Amino acid sequence: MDPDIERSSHELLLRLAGRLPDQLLWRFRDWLGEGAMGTLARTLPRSLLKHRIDLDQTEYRLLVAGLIPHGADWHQVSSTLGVDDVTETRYTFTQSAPEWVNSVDSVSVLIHATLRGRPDVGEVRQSWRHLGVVGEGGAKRVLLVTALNGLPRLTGELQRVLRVLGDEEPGVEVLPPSIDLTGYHRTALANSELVCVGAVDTGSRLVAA
Amino acid sequence: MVEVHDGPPMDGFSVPLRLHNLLLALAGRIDDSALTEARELIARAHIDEAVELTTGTLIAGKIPVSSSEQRELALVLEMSRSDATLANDLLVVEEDEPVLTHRFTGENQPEFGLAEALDRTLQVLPDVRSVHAVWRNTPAGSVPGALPQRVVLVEIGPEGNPPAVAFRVDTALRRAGIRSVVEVAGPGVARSAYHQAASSAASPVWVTGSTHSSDFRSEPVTPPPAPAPAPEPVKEQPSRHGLRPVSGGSHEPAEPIAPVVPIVQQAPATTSSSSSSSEPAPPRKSRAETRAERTADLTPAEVAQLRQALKEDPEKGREIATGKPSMHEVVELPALDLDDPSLSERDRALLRELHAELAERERAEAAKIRLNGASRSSGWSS
Repeated sequence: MDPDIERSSHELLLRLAGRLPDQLLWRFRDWLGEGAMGTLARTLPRSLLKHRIDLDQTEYRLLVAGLIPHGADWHQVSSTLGVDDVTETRYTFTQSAPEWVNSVDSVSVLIHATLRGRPDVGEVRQSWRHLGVVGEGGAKRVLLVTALNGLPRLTGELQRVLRVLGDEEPGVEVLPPSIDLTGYHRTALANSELVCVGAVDTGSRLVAA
Repeated sequence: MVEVHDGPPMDGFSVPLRLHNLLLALAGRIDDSALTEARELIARAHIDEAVELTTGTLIAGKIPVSSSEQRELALVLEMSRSDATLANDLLVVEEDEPVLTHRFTGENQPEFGLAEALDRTLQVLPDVRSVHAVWRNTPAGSVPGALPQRVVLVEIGPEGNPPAVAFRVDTALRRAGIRSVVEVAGPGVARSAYHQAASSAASPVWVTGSTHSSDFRSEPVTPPPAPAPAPEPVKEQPSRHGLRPVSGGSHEPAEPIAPVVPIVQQAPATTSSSSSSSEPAPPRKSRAETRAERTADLTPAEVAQLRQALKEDPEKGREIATGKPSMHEVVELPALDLDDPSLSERDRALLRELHAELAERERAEAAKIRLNGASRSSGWSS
């Protein structure tokens, strides 16, 4: 796959975190990780329209760059460009795990075992996402990983691991080192805890961001 | 590999049913989340999204399909105004692929808690014949979920709508914190090897007796007296199809399930010896009558409600007759009292008509039950 196309699509799907329903987002990210660009091109623009998700100009350019070469419908793609400001995320994040997570967090342990010292991987952090008031709704684990290469595939791999462990709609955010973080990711990182560090030293960039 | 096309031709099925039958054939080959979501989308009349999700999952997972399955997917894509060229990206394998084998077990009580969770649903949904449950110990699809996976097998008759039943049963179970994938078989669809293997190990949850006279039970299957907690996979977080958060890390109800209240309604006295349907008011016309037509008919309970309302307030009675008020409230059936001075001549005439219609229904029901016999095709339970 053309690396620019892959990068554009991955960044677009990152920027849709918290806006596109989790149920769709993890699936689109899985398809990207598997290189199913034609499928993504035929389905993602229409999903954005159906869920009334407008793109800003940056996101629109990413959509055009990533999916038009793979046969996305130009009319649908054009209709995704919004004019008004993008709505900010409705979620809040906390660093501490909710009560229902066992004292031994087996998911964290497994992620640690898998990613610690891994090439191309920097910091691995996790945060807990809440809808509305903290403690009233369900909390969802959001994994925040920095990586240099193979971001879509790493996303897909981690998603599969989390699904086998019981998270049917996993929230895995694999961030490239140079990205303009969205409010969703900034807030999540600001309220996250370190799980492990890969082979790449990213310093304290993620948290400081 | 593909049972759905080896069975009866799909041409007579509507687009939603064609896709539903395709999903039945794909059970065990694509992930359970995709199956569940696609069925919900079908039930919610989002056929295009359902077929795109199905096709995309097959393409991205590089899951082989037969050429007939590819044609069927292309047709459904076309008929739902999606991009039919998506089907060109499917991995088509003509020769016989090694059949995916799944392991199922009925041990550890896969039926635990289901009868309670489905009580209301089974009362409301028409023509549900049986519910079975089984654990699947093997992963499905390219992005499988946690194991073991509870598979709920529902068999319905011709009055039921498979996608709607799948969606409603799944919703009820999810609401009760029971993670599962729901497979609904209507009449006239051949069972896949997956479903045969699942049903051979499945435990009954709820059975009504029209399909197999030897299996007839007019009440839900009572669980054993002291059920052990059923095994659940590691819980990550509560998601759409996941478990609801519970305190203390326990996934199952603390109390054993009490025997649930019988769900099947008592048949009229004249037909109780050969009861076949849980519906209180079977159609009085032929079996070919559509469900849309049937919804315009009043059930005996509704007629009773109308009659009562007429006595109390003729205006309210007219409202009921037009279908405005809630039909869920069943009032006690009063005796036919044409001498009641509060009734007008018009009300008395209407009451006579209603009683005549009731009598006709009872006759029709008796005739229908005689017709049913063993003519219904079998579903999961064999």
